[in-house]
Amino acid sequence: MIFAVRTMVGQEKNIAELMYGRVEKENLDVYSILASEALKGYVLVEAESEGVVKELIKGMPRVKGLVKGTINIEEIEQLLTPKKIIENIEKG
Amino acid sequence: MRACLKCKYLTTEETCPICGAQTSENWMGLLIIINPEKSEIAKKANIKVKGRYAITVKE
Ligand SMILES: [Zn+2]
Repeated sequence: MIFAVRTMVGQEKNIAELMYGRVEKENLDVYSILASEALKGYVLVEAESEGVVKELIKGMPRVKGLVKGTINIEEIEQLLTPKKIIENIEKG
Repeated sequence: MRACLKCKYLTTEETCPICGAQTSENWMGLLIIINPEKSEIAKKANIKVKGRYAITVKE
């Protein structure tokens, strides 16, 4: 299950690192963490359940909260695919 | 940090410790894979080794 966590803009990568540290320390059931420049103000967290993500972000600074619901893997695919075609067009 | 041009793994090395390809300072995005066996994102990105990855890398 993939969840979106709202963060302060510009802090996405820092928070992803902070989350990674907490996952390792507390042995939480988190599978992956994604911070993309294309997704300002959010960090995506793939975890066993919503409860795990709530536990992960509890008291974490610069985190605004958890977005209700889950995100489809198809939506993530767009983020993972480099926009090669567009870049090539722009280069001419 | 630098990112591998082939597998996008993040490292301080000039060559990737996972696949041996050249690395670049020109990268964007951060994908941290903690559990490659259980992660759907890891499967989509074809990542099998735990660690930090860039989303896009250029030379
Ligand atoms: Zn590599």
